[in-house]
Amino acid sequence: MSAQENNGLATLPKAHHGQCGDCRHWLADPAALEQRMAGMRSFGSAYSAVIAASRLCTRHDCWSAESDTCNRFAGHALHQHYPSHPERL
Amino acid sequence: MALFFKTIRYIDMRKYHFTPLLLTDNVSPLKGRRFGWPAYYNKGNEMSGHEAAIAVRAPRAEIRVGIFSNEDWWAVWIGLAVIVAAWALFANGVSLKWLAVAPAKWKTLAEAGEGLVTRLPNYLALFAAFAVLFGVAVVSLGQSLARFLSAFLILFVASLLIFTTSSWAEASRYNLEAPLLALALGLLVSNTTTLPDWFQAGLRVEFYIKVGIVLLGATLPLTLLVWAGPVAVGQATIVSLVTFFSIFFAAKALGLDRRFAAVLGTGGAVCGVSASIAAAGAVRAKREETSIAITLVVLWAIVMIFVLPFASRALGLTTGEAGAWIGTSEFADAAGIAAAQAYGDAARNSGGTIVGAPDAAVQAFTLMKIVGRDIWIGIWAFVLAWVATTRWDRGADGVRAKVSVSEIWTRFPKFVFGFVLASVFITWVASHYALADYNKIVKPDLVAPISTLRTWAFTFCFLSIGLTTQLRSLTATGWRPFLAFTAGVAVNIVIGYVLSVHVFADYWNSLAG
Repeated sequence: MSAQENNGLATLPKAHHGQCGDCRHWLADPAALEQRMAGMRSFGSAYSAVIAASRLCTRHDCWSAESDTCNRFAGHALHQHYPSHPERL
Repeated sequence: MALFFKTIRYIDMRKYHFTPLLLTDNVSPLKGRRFGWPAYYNKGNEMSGHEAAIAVRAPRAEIRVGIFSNEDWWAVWIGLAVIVAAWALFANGVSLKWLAVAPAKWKTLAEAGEGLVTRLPNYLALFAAFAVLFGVAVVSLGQSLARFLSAFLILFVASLLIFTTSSWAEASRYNLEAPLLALALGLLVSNTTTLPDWFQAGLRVEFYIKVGIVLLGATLPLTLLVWAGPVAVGQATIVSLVTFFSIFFAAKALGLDRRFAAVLGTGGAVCGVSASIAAAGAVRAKREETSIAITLVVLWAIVMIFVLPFASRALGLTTGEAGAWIGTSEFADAAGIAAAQAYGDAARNSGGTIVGAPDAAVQAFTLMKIVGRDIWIGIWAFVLAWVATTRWDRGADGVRAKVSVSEIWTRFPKFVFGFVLASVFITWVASHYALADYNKIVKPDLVAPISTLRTWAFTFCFLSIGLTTQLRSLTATGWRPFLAFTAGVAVNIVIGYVLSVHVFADYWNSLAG
């Protein structure tokens, strides 16, 4: 996959996969998690201990932990985190 | 010149959390087409390994840890704070009774209205106390305080009206026990109207039930916990294992994925939605599979809230037996507490038709569900994670997970500590009194107000269950998951009944007094 196909972010070489906790596909916010998971608030909670460091990966549409890895890793959007990026200037 | 560029990049990296160690790498900014920016900022350029490692170092989303990091811990602190405050007042000759008020029995609407007006200052103070305690937790967990307080005010007023209605002298004749009434009313409202988003902020089912369970610990002597705990663990182990494997193998036989089967099985065998989430996280299940498991748990849990108390009554069970059965065969803590309390309330108003102390239903349920089933969720998650990682192939494109023993601790339901500590504390207080003095002084002035606050917390929870359960928003399950889960439900109910009412009946009846 070229960088353009991946919203400007290149797919990483295998030896340099980042962890899910650093990935922009990883849904860390408990409130967003409760919104995405129908029925979760009825008898459960995204703020409870049992959920631990598990969150949703929006790329694979499955649960993953903060330290998991995969070959679809994508860092957080550069525009969001790097305001002096030349493409914003 | 090289030093100049390295310096520029060094500053850039520090500003944006890049790792300074990578400065020594052989990466030249001149690779980029734009002066001053390394190659990975330019679309279409291939990154070297080191460049890639640098580029992805964005700030990590924070997962909170520590003793104020989740609802479980906050339930512990809030519950223990209330208990210690009640004891401090009691030790100084004052009681928390003024704050811990509940509607008195009434026969006419005029009496009910008069009761509300007379106790208005108490209710206002009670609302303020709950608002402060819950509000601190809500802010700490990063939720909106304004939204929570607005929603909680409505929840409190609705709970007060439900509490008042269930205090009607004729309420038991029409099965208007507070838990069932709150649940039915909540379901009716949420499924016939559209509730605003901000109102959802106050509907924290899990949080309220956990606070209530910690407070419940103050009414359960440690001796009882030690005496009945092993029985609860033994019964729960049998039922949990049989239920899990029934669902798991039924699901596999029906052609469902093993991860999905494990999520369904854990949801039915351990602690409902929480267990489904923990198992789904452990085996890295698909979101849709988790949603289906949650839907099945929610549907069966709600059905069981109504079925189990009525079946217990029809079968003539004591409060202890019914509580143990509900603890074995209900899927969610909140749903089980609703069913057990409904049966306890029915016993209180049955005029002796239902045998046993009313509180025994909730006590037996709690021992069975919390001590017997819930505390093992971390071990379930760890074992499932290990099996999924080492035995079940995810495919080359899937998420690669590591298994850690620490999962047992991180997923442990911490509110259980609060429940046990509350029990230890009240047992220590009681040890300073003779039994007669305990019943005459400690029970009405210390334990009873805590019980009343517990009932409030449970009522918030029951109403929240109804208000958050929008049947139209639940996922369509398909017939195969439904059949697999239902097979487990059937097995669970039968085994739970046999163990609670025949095999271990003596233990549970001892609770019923």
